[in-house]
Order: sequence, then structure tokens, then C-alpha cells
Amino acid sequence: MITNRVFSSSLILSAALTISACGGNSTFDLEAAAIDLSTKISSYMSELATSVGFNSKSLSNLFDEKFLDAGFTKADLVSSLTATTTALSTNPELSLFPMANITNSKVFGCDNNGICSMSATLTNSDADTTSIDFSTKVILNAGVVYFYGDQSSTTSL
Amino acid sequence: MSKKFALRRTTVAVASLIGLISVASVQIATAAEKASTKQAGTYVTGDFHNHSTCSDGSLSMKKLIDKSVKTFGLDWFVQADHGGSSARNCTLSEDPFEPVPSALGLTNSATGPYPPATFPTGGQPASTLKGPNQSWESTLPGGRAAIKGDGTATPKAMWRWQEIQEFQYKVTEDESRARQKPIWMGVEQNAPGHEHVSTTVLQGQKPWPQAGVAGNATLQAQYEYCFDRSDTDTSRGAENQWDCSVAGTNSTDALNATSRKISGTNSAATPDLGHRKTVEGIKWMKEKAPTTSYFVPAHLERAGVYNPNGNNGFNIEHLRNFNNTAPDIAFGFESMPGHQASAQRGEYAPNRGASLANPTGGVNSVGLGTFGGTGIYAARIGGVWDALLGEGRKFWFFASSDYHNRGSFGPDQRESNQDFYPGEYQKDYVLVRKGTNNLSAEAIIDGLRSGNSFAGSGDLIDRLSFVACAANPAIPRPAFKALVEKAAANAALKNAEVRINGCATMGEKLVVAPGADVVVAIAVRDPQGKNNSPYSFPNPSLKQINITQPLDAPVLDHIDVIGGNVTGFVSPTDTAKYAGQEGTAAAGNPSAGIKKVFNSSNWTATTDGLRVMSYRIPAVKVSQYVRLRGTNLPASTPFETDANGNPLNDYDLAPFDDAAKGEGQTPGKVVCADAACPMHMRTVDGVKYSSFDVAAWADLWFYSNPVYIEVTNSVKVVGTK
Repeated sequence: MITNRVFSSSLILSAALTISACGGNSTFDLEAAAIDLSTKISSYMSELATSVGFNSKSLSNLFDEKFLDAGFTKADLVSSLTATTTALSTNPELSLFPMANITNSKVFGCDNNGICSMSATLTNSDADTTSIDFSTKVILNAGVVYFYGDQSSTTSL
Repeated sequence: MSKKFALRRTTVAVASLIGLISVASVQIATAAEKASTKQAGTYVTGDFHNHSTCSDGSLSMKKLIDKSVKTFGLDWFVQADHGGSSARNCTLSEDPFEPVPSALGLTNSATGPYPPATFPTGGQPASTLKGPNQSWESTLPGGRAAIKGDGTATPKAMWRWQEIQEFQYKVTEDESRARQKPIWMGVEQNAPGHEHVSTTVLQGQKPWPQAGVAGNATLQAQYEYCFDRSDTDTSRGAENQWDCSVAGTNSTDALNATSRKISGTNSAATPDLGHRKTVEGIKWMKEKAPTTSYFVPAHLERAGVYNPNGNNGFNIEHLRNFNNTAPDIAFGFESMPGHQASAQRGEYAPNRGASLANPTGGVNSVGLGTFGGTGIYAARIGGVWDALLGEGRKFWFFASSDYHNRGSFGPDQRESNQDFYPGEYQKDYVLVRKGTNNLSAEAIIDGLRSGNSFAGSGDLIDRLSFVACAANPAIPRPAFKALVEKAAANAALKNAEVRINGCATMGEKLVVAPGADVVVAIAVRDPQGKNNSPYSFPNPSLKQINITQPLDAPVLDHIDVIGGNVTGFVSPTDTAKYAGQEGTAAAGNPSAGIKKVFNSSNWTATTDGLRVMSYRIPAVKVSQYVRLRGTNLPASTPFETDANGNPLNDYDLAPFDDAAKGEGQTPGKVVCADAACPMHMRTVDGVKYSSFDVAAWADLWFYSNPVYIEVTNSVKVVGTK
């Protein structure tokens, strides 16, 4: 059984938590995984100013194949990045996306399927600083945390 | 009687003007600048259309300025009398200047409106021929001889160019520097071929924060001499010896040899001559003051449709002509007019100008009235304004007071059955980037030109943050929604704008790939406390639907997001699509409609009055725009709004009397039954009806300017051949 514990990410690593999955034993550092995910997505998003960044699979690789969030799938994500790449190559006025850093990420409440909650702070600092706290779902897969989404098909947002 | 002008004739007239309109580079709406390069800005309030006794107003310049920037707290102010001439000296102040104490805060009197003995009517001082009602001839040291030009009346009227150049400008500069607010001169041009246009030529003027050597309004004065149809002076501005030619135009041949300006206006003998002269005036502005001028048609529906043989209103082709000529000068219109407290709201009506002596001699205002205080060109979704936005034009919406007088009330009384003061009822809110020069007139004009502005009545809202952002697909959707809403809320709290890369605000365009999602975020503040209404009794329009809301404490009911497609610039040579009256295909955008409605059920309300909301436009495929309007009135408020929340005709709510039958014949629609309903309401058979200022305070709206969304494989927002 995976022990449900809360781990906070910080720039200073703390001791890893030893967990065991149902039916087997494994060691997994949720805290480090949370840091790794938020650091990577912030970094990859910052690269989305060039077609190289858009063409790279680095960003989409952070999303589970079954990612679904308010009706948006991983395929939709890839399609969006691809379309932006195409548009960027011919239109220098393209507005691109608002970027943000993800910090203070915490992964907790993992269930037997490895689906966990993740809370974090999203910050844009282009000119004036805007921060919000948010939560989403992530999934543990082969020792890596991936974005999983709320699994809702609703597109009301 | 309506005066209808054959479309064919108008079409021919337009065709003949095409050669005059240089198919200039209509400036492309710029993509939103990078956030880091945007200087911080603040929304500031102002008014640029109002009158003193130097034209047909009732107050001195000083008292008008005092009311506007002190009493009603405007941040900036442009004093803009009509062109032409005036016999009265508006630079002389009232005596006493401050209101008689007993005139303040008077409540309704049973013998009302007010005991005449305690308060003078007709302005302070009460009598004609005192204060600013005295003539130039009687008050100038040089008397009649000091009045230049070729006027012959007695007392001799002074041409506006001289009033501006030699007398009025000094007052505005002195007032501006003393009050430490940008205050400068403009002119409400009697536009040849049309009715009126709010103009300014700032070049040379040095309002606060400038200091030191005084400036001048010589260029503004020259513009008035050259291009106002009521200025028939032929002296070339006396010693100024002005020449009104514009370099590189083909109208030099039309200049009168003596006056060196185009003489005449629209007439049967010279159809469209006036419009041609007005366009020349814009070219002149572009040559003399390309970044410090504006040309904004005022109450443009009021005088009816365009008349090639007279001086009436504006059709869409004329607005296109103006904007084509100089998009950085002719960048909008005042479709929320002044005169909001008058018997015919906005002074828009059917058969306007008719009288008992001439009962069928009037002209139908386009739309036959205002709609929630706004002309039909902007009020009707899919109408003229949406047609222009559907081309991707920079063409912005403004409001003005058009202050002349209080009607039967004195200038220091709070009631009005004619006009509201600048800042009392309507305001233009424009984002100004202050920089190191603080709040400058140049920056204000830049702000007006930018389209980052909104206008409204009755302080329904006093803050607005409105953005469209390209949705970042890598950020969880609820998080992205929360982020942009927070950014909008923060900006509204600071009375500023959102500055985030990938977001565009009013007057800007967001450029996205096809299939991208766009998140539209809005934050408004419904201010706490009271507005400037002197009435606290329940809004009679809302009482009809069992809502009790004090007239001086309105509550925002809902916001409509209106959107339409951008289908590209219409060529002047495509006459069928370029020219037409309201209601024709040329003057419409059938794709425009209400895209989203926000109200208390789907916005987040905070205790400080903020209302925050957002929605997602999924998978955009075509270039488009979104704009906002909001009101205190729910949909289906009888005689005020239809089932979709569109404003209904104000004239129908409070019709003026049938000119052929005299006064006191026609009842209103909304009964004003409260015991505090003032005596000056329209009363028929003993029943008071909501009318005049009460009708205006009951019916409040705001309009934002648009945010454009350009999709890269779709129509480019604002193009030109």
C-alpha cells in the first residue's frame, strides 16, 4: 500500500520517503519528483518563444498519455504546439502564450493507481507579478510524475 | 417629416469623392507590445466637448472648468466651443463665482421647482449682460475696433479664431497650470457638409505639466478659420494671413483667392463640397499636427442621414473616408452624446427641429432617438460601429457632456432638464502612460488614439480591465483561468491594465495560431457609495420589475460580451459595400452578436465592488473582435431593454410633445410615482413620468472599446490595398 503522505517541494531536498506499492516494494521520492516536474515545465515553457522550443517534445513529455483536463487532451496539447510552430514560422507578430513559473509544488494524496494531487503556485512576472495557487492531478508512472489533469471532459472553462 | 436622400445620388457622390481620398496606409492595429516594454499607465477621466458663452453655452470658461475638474473631479479637460463667432466674452467670470449657499443641496419643493427668490435662474449672475454674458465690444479696452475680421453686427461678434488665439487660450493655460491638470483648447467644428465634430490641434499649446514660457493655440485657431463652416470670415485671420491649402492635395484649386480657404459647403449647387472641405481639414491636421490632433464626430446620428445638399449627419462612408484619410487622427466617434437630461434625450428625436409654426420641418435623427443614451450607430449590435470594427479599423467609442446649460435650473443646482456637467454623468476613461512627464496632454491624446479606453454613465463602473489571452496549453485550464482573472482583478484594483505577454487589451490585437483557445478575462469595479445623482428615491424603471434601487446608488446588473468577425478592409471603390445608410449592408456586420453574458450568477463578486469573470473562446478559426457593454437594467425591463438586453429607444420612453399639437399632450411610459419624484418631471393629467435627468439616472450603460483577435491564416486585422 502506498502510504498517503504530503511532501513539500523546496529548493532544499529533504529525506526521501520510502513507499511500497501494492504487491511489491519500491523506493520513490515524491518530493524530488514534484520539484523535478515543476522545474521542468517552467523551463520548457520559457523555451516556447522559438520554433525549436515548440518542436521539442520536452514539454509534451511531461504529460501522461491519458492526460485530460477540462476537455483538453495530450493530443490537443501537441496539436496546439504544432500549430503555433507553423504560425510562428510565417508570422513574427504571433502573440505566443502567457508564460508562468510553477513553484511550491506539493504532491500528496496518492491513491492505489498512483494518481495524486498536486498543488503549486503559478506566477507570471512579465511586468506586474501575478500569482495564483492551483491544484491539479498528476500520476506516478515508472517512478516519474506526469501531469494527469482532472479527467473531466467538460469544456466550460 | 423625414428627409431621405436617394442612395444612388449618395453613391454617385461617394464615387466622385474617391479620387480625393488617398488610399492611404490605414495603420494596422499593432499586436500587443511586449509587457516589459509597456510603460505603466493609469486610466484617467476626461471630457472634450462642452461650451461656454464664447459660443452657445451659459457659463464663463473658468466656471465651466471649475465645475468639470474640481466639482466633478475630471483628470483632464478640453474646452471646445463651437466654431463661428460669438458676441459674448466668456473669459469674464461670474460674480459671485462661487454658488450662492442657499442654492446648494436644495430638495424638491412642493411649490417648486425652487422658490425663485432664493436662486437665480439662467446662470450666475442672473441678468443678461453681466459676467460672461457681456459683449466683447463692451468689455475690451479697444472696444469694437479690437474685434478683428469682417463681422458687421452690433454688438460685433468676434470670430472664434480670434477668441481662441488671443483670449481663450490664455485662460485654459492659466487654469491648467494653476490646477495642475491638463486642460487645453479644442473646437467643436461645425463641419462642412455635416453637423459637428470634436476636434483639437494641440500643437503649440502648453498645458500643465508644462511650465515656463506660455504656449499658444494659433494652429487650433487657424483650423477653425480654415475649416469651420460657420466661420465665414474672409480676412485670413487678419495679421495671421493664413493660407488653408494642404500640401500635396488636389483641393488647392477650390481655395477662394481672398480668404484662401475653400468657400461654401454642401448645397444643391455644390453637392458634397462640404464633405470635401471637411476631409481637407483632416489632411491639414495630418500635415500640421499628425500626432497631437483628433477628429471625432459628435452626436453623429442626431442630424439625420447625410445630405449632399445640406449640413446634416454622417453615413458610414463618411466615417470610412475620415478614417482612411488619417487613422491616427480620425480614430473614433461620440456615439454616447451629451444633452442626456434634455426632454429628448441626447436631443435625438423624430422630426427634430419641428415647431408649431413648421410642424413637418424637422429631420429624423437616425434611429429616431438614443438607446440607453447611445446613438444607434453604436447601440445596435451589428450596426455601423460593428461594421467598422469588422474591417479591423481603429475606430473607437467616446462619450461627452456637450454641456451648454441646466435648462430651467441654475448652474449650481443639482437638477437639470437639459445637460449634465462634464464628469457629472458621463466620463471617458482613457489609459495614459505617464512616464517622466506626468499626466501630459500629449499622452492623453496618445491614449485616446490607442483605443485603450471605455466610456460610461452614472459611475456605473469606474474601473475596467479587459483582456484576451492566448491560452497556454501547458498550464492546467483552471489554473490559467485563475491566473488571467487574477491579473485582470489586480489591474482593476490599481486602475491600470494587464501587462502580460500573450494578452491584448482594448485597442490592441492578439495574434494566434488557428485552433488556439483564447481566454477573455474581465474585471470591473461597481463603485461603492453614491454617484452624482441628486435623487435617492428608487429607480422608477426598476420599480416596474420590483427592484428597489436608489437612483444615486446604481448596481451593475450584467455585462454583455459582443463579438464579430473581421472580414477585412472595404475598398472605397466597392461602392455597394462602402457606402450606405444605417440598416443597409454597407453599414452592418451580420456576424456581430452577444457572445457571452455575465451577471451575478457567473461572475465573482468581492466586497470592494470588483466583479471578475472570464470565458474561453475555443479553437478560434477566424479573425474577430470582442467588446463589452454593461448596464444597471436587466433584460426585459419595460420600455428600457428588450429580451436580449438591448437598449430600447429613449424617445419612446419619454416622447416629446407632438410639435403640431403643442405641449402637454403625450404621456411618458414609466410612471414616476415616488413622493420624492421632482416637480419638473413630465406631467400629463396629473401623472408624473420618468423624464429629463431622472430618466437618464435610471438608465445607465458603459461601453468598452474592442480587443481584436487575429488568426494567422485568416483575415489580417486592418488591412489596406
